[in-house]
Amino acid sequence: MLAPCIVTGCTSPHPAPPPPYTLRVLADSELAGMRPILARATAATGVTVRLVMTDTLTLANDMTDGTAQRDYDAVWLASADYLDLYASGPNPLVGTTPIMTSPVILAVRTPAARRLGWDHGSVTWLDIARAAAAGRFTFGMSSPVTSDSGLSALVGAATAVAGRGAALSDVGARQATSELAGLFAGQRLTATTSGALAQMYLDSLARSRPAADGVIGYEADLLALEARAPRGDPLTLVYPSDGEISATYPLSLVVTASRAATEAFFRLVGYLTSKSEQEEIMMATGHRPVLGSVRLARNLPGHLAALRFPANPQIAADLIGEYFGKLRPPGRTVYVLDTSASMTGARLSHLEQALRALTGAGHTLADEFSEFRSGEEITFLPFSYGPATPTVFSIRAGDPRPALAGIRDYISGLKAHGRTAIYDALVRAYQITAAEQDREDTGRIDAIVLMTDGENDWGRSLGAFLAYYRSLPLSSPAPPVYAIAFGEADIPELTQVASATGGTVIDAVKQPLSVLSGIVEDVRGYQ
Amino acid sequence: MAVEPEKSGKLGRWWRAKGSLEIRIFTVLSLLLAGGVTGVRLREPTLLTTVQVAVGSEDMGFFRDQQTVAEFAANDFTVVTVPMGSRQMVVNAKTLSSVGYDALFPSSEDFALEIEQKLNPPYGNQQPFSTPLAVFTWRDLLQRLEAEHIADPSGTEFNLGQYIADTASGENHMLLDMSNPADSDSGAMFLAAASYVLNKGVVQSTSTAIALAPQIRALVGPLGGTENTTSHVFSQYLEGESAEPLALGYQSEFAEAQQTGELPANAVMLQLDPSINCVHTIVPLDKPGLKFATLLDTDPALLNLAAQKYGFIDSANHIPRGVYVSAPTPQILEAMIGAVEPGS
Repeated sequence: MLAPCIVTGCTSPHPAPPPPYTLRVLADSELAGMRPILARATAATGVTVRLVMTDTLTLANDMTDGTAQRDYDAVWLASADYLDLYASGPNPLVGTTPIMTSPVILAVRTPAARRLGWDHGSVTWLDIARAAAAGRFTFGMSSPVTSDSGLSALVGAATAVAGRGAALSDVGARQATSELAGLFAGQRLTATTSGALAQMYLDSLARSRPAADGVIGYEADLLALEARAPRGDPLTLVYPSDGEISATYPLSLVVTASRAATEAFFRLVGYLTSKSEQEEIMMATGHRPVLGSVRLARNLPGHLAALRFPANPQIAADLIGEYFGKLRPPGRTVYVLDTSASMTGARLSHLEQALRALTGAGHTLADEFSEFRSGEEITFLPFSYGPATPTVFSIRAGDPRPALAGIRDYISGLKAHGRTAIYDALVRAYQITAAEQDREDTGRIDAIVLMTDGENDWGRSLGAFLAYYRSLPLSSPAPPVYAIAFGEADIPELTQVASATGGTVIDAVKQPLSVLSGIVEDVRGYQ
Repeated sequence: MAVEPEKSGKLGRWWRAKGSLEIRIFTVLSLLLAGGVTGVRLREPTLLTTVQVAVGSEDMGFFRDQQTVAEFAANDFTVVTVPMGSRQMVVNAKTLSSVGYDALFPSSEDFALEIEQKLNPPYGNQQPFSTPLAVFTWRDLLQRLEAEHIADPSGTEFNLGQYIADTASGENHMLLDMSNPADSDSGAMFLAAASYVLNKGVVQSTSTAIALAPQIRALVGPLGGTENTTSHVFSQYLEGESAEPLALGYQSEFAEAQQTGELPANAVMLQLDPSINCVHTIVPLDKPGLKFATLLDTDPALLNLAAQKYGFIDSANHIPRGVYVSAPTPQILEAMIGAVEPGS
């Protein structure tokens, strides 16, 4: 508050503080890095921002069903493109103000960038697609279903590859299919959000088991990633010369906002778009300013060509469908299921229900995208005193119904008894994955999903498992463990498993069992 | 690593329980306090009346101008403006009225009439100023546009008929960007102008509007995630030729950028042929809204500022030369917007 006084020479030594207001803002989780900036805003404007973060898909659903209008004053999106795709009905957002921008680019391990000649001169998305198709470039990208940056990367690459600078048409998308399939043949890593992807990738570099040559994502996130990369394994940012899709992070008022909320909203927006805060945001978070008068920082190259998001949401929806069905090698997942005695009753039936939901009958686009997909390979590995016999289901592209019916039958047959040998089961899951990789190496994304309600009380210890994991050859990519923990599960131990393998713990210990379905659906974003 | 909790619980609705009176007092107090800080001149005995008004995004420069704020304050008004698309005002008219908006100020008469039909407010409407639709491009692109006969040899007019024909035949790849017709006035008025060209006259029936939709969709569809307000398109244009080679907007936006020095030296405005003069129309929803509308419609200082600094036209005598056509009736325009929307 001191600086403006010096500039304008105001006379009052203690200017009256602006009236306090708590603005309830529903925000895309990609905005998590803005919390420190918002904390500063409170001191200057009197507006406390109560930020509730959610993934992009949930946010779109909340706007469609009216939750956003009922429970919040404002909505902060990464980009509005996503809403066109998932939200329906009249646009409930007004007073929309872009706060900052960030283009979708690549971060590539410096030796790989040199090897590919991308560290100097111009590179197009088509060059990148061809390198990936030829097996010379691998990458990670967050899920285009749940994450805005994943969707922008998918659409941006498709638009650039289809060419001509116009937004993607259905014809353009079809023409780009084979080149895009080449690009996504190189994908080795995925995650629900861009933040989770960056963390997994960093972990893999830190463990000297790089999950891929690089990642695709928003410049701001990749600048942060570059800064945190291990000293011995630096990253180089690559800006494709044929253009980028940018997020503009629009902050909007909901149409139902009260007058007091409206007044507080504009105070906040005025602060965030002031020259000094725009500079602060750029320096602190790597997002580009929306004010032309702010000079770009030296690490942000100017004159980027803009690519456009398609106006017709069906084109993006079709592209996502193709991505999972055709463009990307289908996933391969081992579900390691706790069937110890403590699972008897409600726990087992909720687990069954959550898995059954992935076999079809979804109503929304979101349901549809989280279901088991054509070409996917799903292995169930129940365990109690030890791992049971694994059962494999392959979803046939032409006719998925028999496999899906088989999965439903199999799930209903699960029985709970005995103890909890988590680590013996995980070791078995790694053996299964290794055998499958030997049998068929087509660049599938492997994942191990562990669902457990208890502590390990049988077989190998955590220490023995970690020793086993470390003994795996560095040449074979060992998949991350995504642990869904409920009941009396041991969160600290599972956290060690997740961080050692590059996975995640989803802690539902204190939550009702009814959340399991949503969690199992969310974890599909990693597969 | 940990995962962000999927969502903390739904928040309560305490704010809804509060009476609007309390909120009004709170707002007036806060503005008094804010006024003390920023040095707005307050006349002792009278309290400022705060009005909340929905306006087209392109009017925000005018309403935020310190001279505008001071002139309203001199007349005991504080104006809180919320930018939104003109058609959003129509779609959300009932909600906006119920949360306490005093007036809605869409950028064209068509949308004002639709709002009046929905809400039946007893205060009529006021039309303080207007501005024609225009096309913005860049000096070094003129040659290409002239070669395709989209721009005339003097580089002042944009031939909409030629643009539509060349784009349909695939000859022209330079696309005119615009705001989303389903939300915003300038996009919707583009549909009006394009349908006039295709129909060789104002469209007079919903069946004609629907029949023309596929041809118009071909012009709107390739543009990508259309922003919902006009000013977003214009600020993208100001970023330069690579960001926005060809954009649709209002003459007032270009004039404003010229005045404020934000306009790049090689920026060029072309008159749209035919164009539509968009008559900004205020629909007051209550008495303070009516007082606000009357003030803006009659105050010479405000009108002068709108005309001189923001390029609005405050009188029919001042409309620039050019070919202007009328928009179809609100019902027909609505049918056209519905038929052109992606996925329809």
